Amino acid sequence: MSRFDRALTWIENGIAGVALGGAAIMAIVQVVLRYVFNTIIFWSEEAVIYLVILSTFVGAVIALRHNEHVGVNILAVFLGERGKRVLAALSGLLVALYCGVFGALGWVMITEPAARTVVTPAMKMPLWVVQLALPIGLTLMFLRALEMVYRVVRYGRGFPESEKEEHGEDAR
Amino acid sequence: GVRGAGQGGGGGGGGDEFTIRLSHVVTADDPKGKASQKFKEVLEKSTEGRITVEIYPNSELYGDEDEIQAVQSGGVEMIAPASSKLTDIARQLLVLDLPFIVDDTSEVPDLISRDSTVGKGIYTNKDLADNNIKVMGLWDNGLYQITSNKAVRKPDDLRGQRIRITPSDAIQAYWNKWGAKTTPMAFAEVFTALQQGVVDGEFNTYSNIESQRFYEVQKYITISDHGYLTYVLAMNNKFFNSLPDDLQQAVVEAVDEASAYNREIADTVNQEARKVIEEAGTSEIIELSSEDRQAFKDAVVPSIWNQFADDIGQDIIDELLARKS
Amino acid sequence: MDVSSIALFVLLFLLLLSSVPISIALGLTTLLYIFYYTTLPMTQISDTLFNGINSFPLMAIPFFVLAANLMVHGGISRRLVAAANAVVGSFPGGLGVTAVASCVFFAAISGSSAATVVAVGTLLIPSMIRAGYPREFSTGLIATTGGLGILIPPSVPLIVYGVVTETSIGDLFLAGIVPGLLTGILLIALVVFLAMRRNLGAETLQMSRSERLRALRDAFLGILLPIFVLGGIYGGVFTPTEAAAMAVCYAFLVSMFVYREINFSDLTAIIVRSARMSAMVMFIIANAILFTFVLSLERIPGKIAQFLTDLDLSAWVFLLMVNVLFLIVGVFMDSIGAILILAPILYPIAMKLGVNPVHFGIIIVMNFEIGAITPPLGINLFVASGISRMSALRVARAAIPWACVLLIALGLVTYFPDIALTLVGK
Ligand code: NA
Ligand code: NA
Repeated sequence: MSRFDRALTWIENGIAGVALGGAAIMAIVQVVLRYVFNTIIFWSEEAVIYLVILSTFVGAVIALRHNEHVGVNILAVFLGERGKRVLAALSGLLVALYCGVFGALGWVMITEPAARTVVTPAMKMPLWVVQLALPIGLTLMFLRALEMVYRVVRYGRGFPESEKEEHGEDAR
Repeated sequence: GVRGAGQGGGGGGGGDEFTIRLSHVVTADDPKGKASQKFKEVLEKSTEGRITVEIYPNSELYGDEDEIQAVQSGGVEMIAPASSKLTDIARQLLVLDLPFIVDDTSEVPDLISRDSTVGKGIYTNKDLADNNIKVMGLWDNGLYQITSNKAVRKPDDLRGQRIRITPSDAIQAYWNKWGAKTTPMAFAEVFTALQQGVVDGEFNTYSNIESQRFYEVQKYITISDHGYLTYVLAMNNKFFNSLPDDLQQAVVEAVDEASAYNREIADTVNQEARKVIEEAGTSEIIELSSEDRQAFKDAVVPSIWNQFADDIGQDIIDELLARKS
Repeated sequence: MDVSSIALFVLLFLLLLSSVPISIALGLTTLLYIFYYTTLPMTQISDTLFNGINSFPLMAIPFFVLAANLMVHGGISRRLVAAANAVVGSFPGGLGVTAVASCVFFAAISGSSAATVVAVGTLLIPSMIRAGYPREFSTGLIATTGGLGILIPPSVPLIVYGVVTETSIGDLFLAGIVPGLLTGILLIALVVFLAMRRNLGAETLQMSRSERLRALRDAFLGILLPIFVLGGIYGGVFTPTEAAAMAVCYAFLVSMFVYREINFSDLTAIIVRSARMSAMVMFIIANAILFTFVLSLERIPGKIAQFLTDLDLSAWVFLLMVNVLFLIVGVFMDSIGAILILAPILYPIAMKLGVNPVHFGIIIVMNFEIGAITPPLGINLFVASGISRMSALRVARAAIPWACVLLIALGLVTYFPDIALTLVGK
């Protein structure tokens, strides 16, 4: 279980980090090329966008693992320990429901004819290639949502409020 | 609401009432917006309410980036994209993106009627049919003008400028030939991109330049009349087939009536838009002498036309070239 | 409104109460609605979710988050706090004034209020408590002042507002400066007043002239950044997204090669942290846009706008209404989701009444400065409570006096538009 967890963490961090870092480098290169070399890469903006979208759907999984998605915790104030636990489990199940349905729809989406025939305007990539970000991210998130429910049932609470990263302290 | 509406995909016969959602990316006052309204009025009247038409203008529902996919999968029943947006699916439609395909709007009806060579290639296009898209009609907008922040009087003035284009290989090819750097971009993003300086210029018809307020964020408009903007009124083919015969007939008739109306108003709407732009005074309108315009033309015709002969069909190119001379 | 529209909002409200994340609540509501009330193919939902964030201007958001994280961990924010202390530390209530000034500085390089609270709070809340300020005073002050992060440019909510209403992000950024400084000055006035009355912060700053100059010189590169970013945007050199990317480049070079406070392994951790922090925001945006897809499909914004237009309000009353509405919404919505859902409804009416679009954006964002410190959903409360180990509710209570200052500033900016528009020159 913990080896599986570590592998998953490594994959999530890797994809989200490489995508965001790549997008930042791409955007910086774009400005430098324009001002220093007076040239443009006409597909750079599109590449930045799709990298950030990938980083978003996978980064959302990491945010879930860090219990960082903001929500309105008003009911919890009025509930006792037991009620809070039920609420946390319910919340985890709803997240799992969301990820399960959207993730499944995402896999269907990329197999539809349109995803193969429509290509992105600049890079001319088939839509399904860039759209993969969604089913991949939400499938990973589905696994984490199940883990969250398991943790609530087993230990009485979901993911800890802030987790230490592999390197360095957390910002909070 | 769309509750209890027609069956978007396949099945057919889900009751007697149908809803056609028509999504487009321009305002309700553009020729396309007005023709859509006409289509709605005519069809709802002729079917006595058996078909309801819901129009979603202004990329409200789907934008350039997802409407083609939406009509194929039944996310919407009808769209009216610029022809260039279908060229990834049907290469033959590149013909409508050729530069200087017409010099005057009066040549248009002849060019793209149902029975003309060009028109047949579009109405009965196999690639579109294979992708569940039925071409219902072709709507005109008007001739393209160039908007920019740097005065454009000759092709060389475009050298190095970043120009937003609709994604089409033919359009990209002639802009590059003029020396511009092209960036494909969704219509709904263009205003912000011009305003923030992501691109230096773009080209469009007067009605689009006016309704999207491009003239407020551009210093110059060059009257180049260098191409023709045609919209393909496209329907989800399965939805069309799911309609009872009499309703299919009613839809076709309503489209034809709206198309006629569209042709009637396109010129007027563009002239009115030009007046609004002139009165606003936020951008300078540059008229080209016929020699200047010829310089733009000579740079790309017939070289670009021939470049796409394989996609469009050599016979069509030959016919077009013969027409011109 | 018909039954289905009411069901839509009731469902959203119930899901929000159940304490699922806002993003998930928005997405699930849309999902159930489309399933029960429309004939749309279901894959259209995932397609729209994907396309919601398919927009270049929005890409400024992750880049500003990344830049801010590089600055927090690369030593820039620490030097900014030291410089602020050198400038205003000898005022009565010196450390409190330093806290406000630091927030103003950091707000000018970060786009979110939570990041500002983290950057300034982790450094200053402990030192203020050590210097004898009550825990409530320090935490409430910094939780509130952190709100300047979204008013003083760069600002994530202003980017979102600019994108949905097609208002110039550059102009919005410029317009946030004076209201932000004004709020800062009002907060400093209250700090000085309370410090003198309660005799707080009796510490005297022992800093020689040369020490002060050194602190300023150390922070010089950090202070230069906002000038570089804003000047670049307004001078037409960069788009806001490019400016954000250049801020990343700048913060990277300074912290890696000038201050040398991060190495490559820190860098990977910072990038991953930024990816998850910006993903949280972008995920809300994607789901909020999905939700507005249903609103458009059902033409709800048009109906509400028509209703409000029929009331025939004056601009004065309309703006008052908008403030009350956003203050209430701010209690349980976050700024991004609320702006995405409400701005398209209210913006056309504001335009009809002759309200300046830039001014309108500033008013909305100032409401969410307050929303960030009102429970149950107040992002600054959560962050500040984490730093000072107080419950979020206690932080909220401690923030009340400072929130009154924000309310006064909001009133001033609402009814004296020139405060916001003076730099925009329109
Ligand atoms: Na800021
Ligand atoms: Na709040």
